[in-house]
Amino acid sequence: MQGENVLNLLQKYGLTKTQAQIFIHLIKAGACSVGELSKSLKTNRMNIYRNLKSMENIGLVSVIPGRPMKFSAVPIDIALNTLLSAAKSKVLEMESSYATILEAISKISEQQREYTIEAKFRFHSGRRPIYAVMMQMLEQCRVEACLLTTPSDLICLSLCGFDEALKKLSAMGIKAKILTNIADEKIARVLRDYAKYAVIRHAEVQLKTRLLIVDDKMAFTSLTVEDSINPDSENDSGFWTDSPQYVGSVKEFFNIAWRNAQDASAVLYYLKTGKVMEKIITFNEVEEYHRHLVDVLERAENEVLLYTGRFREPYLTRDIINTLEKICSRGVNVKIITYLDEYSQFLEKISNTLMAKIKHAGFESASISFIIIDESESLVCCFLSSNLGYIAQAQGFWSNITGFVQVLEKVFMELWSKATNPSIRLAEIQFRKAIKEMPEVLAPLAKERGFLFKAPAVVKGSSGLNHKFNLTLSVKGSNKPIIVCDYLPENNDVEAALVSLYVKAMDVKANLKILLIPTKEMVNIIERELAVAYGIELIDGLHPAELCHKLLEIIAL
Amino acid sequence: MLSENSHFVIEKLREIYESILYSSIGESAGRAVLLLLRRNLKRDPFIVLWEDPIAFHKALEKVLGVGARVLVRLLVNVLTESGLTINSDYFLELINRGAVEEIRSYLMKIADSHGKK
Repeated sequence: MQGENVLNLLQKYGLTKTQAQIFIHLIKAGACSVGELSKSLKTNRMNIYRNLKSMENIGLVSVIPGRPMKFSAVPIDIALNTLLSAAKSKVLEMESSYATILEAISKISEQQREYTIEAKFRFHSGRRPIYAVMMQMLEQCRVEACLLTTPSDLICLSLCGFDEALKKLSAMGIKAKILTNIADEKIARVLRDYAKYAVIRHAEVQLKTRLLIVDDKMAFTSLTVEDSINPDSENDSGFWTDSPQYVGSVKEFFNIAWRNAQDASAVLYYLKTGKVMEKIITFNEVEEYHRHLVDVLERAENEVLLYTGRFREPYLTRDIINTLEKICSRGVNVKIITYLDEYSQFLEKISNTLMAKIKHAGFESASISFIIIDESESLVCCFLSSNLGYIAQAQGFWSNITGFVQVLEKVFMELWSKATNPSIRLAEIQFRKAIKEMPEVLAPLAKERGFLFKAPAVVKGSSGLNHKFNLTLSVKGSNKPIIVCDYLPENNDVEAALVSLYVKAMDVKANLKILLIPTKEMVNIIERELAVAYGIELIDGLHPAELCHKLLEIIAL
Repeated sequence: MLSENSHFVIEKLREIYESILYSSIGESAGRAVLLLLRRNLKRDPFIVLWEDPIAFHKALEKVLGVGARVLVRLLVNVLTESGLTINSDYFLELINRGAVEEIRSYLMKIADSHGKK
């Protein structure tokens, strides 16, 4: 034991281990040859010889000539003084060159600074070694520590004293931020301890990642954290780095997640009271909107209020229609507002029950759709068209924020009160199609009866003004039309259409004035009286043949 | 001789009324109505509209019969679009009552609100 101590002490005086062993052996055994020393110290002759030569040069051993040549140790006090003097002169030499080296090195470092920063990456595996690294990082923290991890990892970290390390940081006035998914009461309890020393926020996304960033200088990353609460788990790995680029980018990621996260106290309140947490989930794909829409519809229990810009794809899909049919059949009260047009889909295939729930919006706003479910959740989507006119993208969000849902519901009900019966709108669409096809059907029939037929026609009136009619019939050989006919315009203003036809017909001195309309139901009593007063015949029909037949019937009379 | 203010109101009313007529019943029918009004009143119908709105309406009734109220409705729609709360029945009541000054104040409001646009 004492020999070991001496060996160590001699090494502190500047001897190597072998040199110290040789010196002690020579003191104990007296003068020895290289062979004897090699045998006693169990090392090769060359090694012994090399060390003896160095020791001779320093003045620790003296040579005794002979065959074989032997070496003896100088007295210990001389040896120690010799070693002390050598060390002192070495220190003096170092001190004298201190300033010179400092100046020379600083010049080199200035020139080479940008090349000398070399990032380090170190891989670690096993949970305890990883936690040790994280603790070391916290010890070096001077400004801020940011941790993103799983709830299980936080529990496990607290078992290993991570919260105590945060407590020390807090005592030093150093900020700590923790971002995690506060899923249940269990994690909420653990977080109450953490909350004393750190600001905690709730991230909606359940990431399996662990990320510790300290002072924007170093980061520890585990891409996947095993979901156990075992501190001795070997199934855990990650890497530490001080790469400024990497640390900068993960910090940016953390900051974005932090900004979008909710304050933990609010989440803890919801967990404590059992209330549903108010939140917003955004999306930016049309398919995502469809998925959300089907999801919320399937959750509906009492009422669904759906405003959809158009009744066709991509605003709706077959899946969505099927889901609407399904919830209708299980007694959910569905109300749908949409802009029905000639391109509307699914209408022929949907049941009468669902059809009865649809109303036509009198305005064309295709870009927005929204839905309110059971007065508790809402989904809003804005469709963005490409330059070529097709829907390329969607941006929207789901929300259960009570105030927002209530506002949206009021907007829907306001629109609902102004929306019209879809049967009238569908009749209009069919009527527009019929009047496009009508001239082709009417032309041969009119010819058969000796009429000249024009659609559209321009006729000069007695005022000198040229009047345009949708259709005229005149007797062969006569320039003047005897029958003038207009179709109800797109704005469905029957009164204005009657006044227009009356004035034009009066100017061209027509014998018979006819206004074609989709259905009689679209004309109120005042409009009917105006038509009678103006002597205008109203003909209704949704098919070209029907309209032609009625027109010719009136002419025959 | 019309004052400068009256001239401004009359020209504005002409502009607005023509625009309403042409867009609602078509340009040729609208022109025909104005032509018939001119023949009936033997004057510029818009000067009559400003100076004697009752006479204007009577002439309109002669030309369009019961359809005259349709054009009153279209004109009143412009008032409501300009933020004034009035309905066509009330306007017709003013005409029937011969409330010239009140009608003129509405006509001025129409001209004024559109003059600022």
